[in-house]
Amino acid sequence: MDRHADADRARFAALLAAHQGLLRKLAWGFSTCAADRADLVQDMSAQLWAAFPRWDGVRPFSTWAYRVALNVALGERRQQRDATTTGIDDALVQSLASNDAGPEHVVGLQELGRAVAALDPLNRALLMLYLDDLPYREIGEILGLTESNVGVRLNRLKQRLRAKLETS
Amino acid sequence: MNPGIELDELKSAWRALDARLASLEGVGLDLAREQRAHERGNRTRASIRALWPLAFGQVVQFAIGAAVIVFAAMWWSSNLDQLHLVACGVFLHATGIWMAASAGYELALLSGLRWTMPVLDLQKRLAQLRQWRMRNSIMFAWIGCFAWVPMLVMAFAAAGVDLWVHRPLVVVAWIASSFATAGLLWLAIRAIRGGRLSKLAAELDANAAGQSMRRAELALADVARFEAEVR
Repeated sequence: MDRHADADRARFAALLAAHQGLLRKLAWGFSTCAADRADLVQDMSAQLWAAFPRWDGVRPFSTWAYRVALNVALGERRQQRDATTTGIDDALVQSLASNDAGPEHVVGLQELGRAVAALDPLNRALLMLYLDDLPYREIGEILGLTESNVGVRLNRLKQRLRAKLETS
Repeated sequence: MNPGIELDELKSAWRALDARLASLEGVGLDLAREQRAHERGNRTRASIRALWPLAFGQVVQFAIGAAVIVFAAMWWSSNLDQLHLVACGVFLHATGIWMAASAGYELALLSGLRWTMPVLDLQKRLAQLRQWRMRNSIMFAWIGCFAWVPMLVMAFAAAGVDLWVHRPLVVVAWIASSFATAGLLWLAIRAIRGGRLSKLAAELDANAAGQSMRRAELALADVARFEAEVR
């Protein structure tokens, strides 16, 4: 029994380590400061561990982890409704673009921060999944949308972003 | 927004984001590690600071011991024609030497404590200091049983009354009572070492170690707990 639990724990730890970048980026998109981000990553990890017995192992771990982690992030944003209006931590956007990032990334990272901060939580999640190159079907599975609905929403989102990029 | 930025560029920025966040997290971890080391240093320093009154006490004891040596040497060298006064002076001289030497040894033990040492090492050294203080306090108790007799004889002689010449029985009675006190002390030590009087033993142990020692040990235990928590 214990050996089984230990094996599960080790398997989960390995999967979590392999996908920590995913949690880090999601947390970045839904937190307003470094402390929030660390808390959110911790909450996401705890929730993933709690839900781990229910992962069927058929779906890719990343898809399942995205879904659970996004639920945590969106849930916490709902609880801190006021914070949603403040967007992403400005200091973090600045620090992302500080001098030790490559010059080609400086502008891109700042733009990315502004683009994500300007969106409502659902579109924020949609954009992040799109930027991660997930197929529409998987995005739909994660967000609970149909594949075609994902396509429509993404097209609108891209148009919005392009318009903003062109007008600014 | 910046002109010329395309959605594809946002994608490449998104890919770069993870490495950037990971490095920021690394900086955060380094800062946390540094903060923990700083906190540990503060607590260890506090435990060593708690021993300062002890060190001050030893400096005072060393000074008193040195003064006693000088006074006793002057005393017996100026009373060489009276053997009993020489004996009193030599006894006091030896007491002064022990006072100064034990204070010096304790100061050497204290100066060996560094806040940068591993906690276990510090705890070992504190235990060594505690043991030394226990033994030394017993030694002083033995000395105290007898030292008052030559001191009184010398005080009377200095006032112009040589008790050993005029009231030898009084001095003999004092010496006898010194031995009786020493006997009682020996019985008490035996009872304590034999496991009886455990409550009294614990109290004597704590008193002999001193409040500074207790504070330092508590502070060090706090450091050990802190280290265990952050490990």
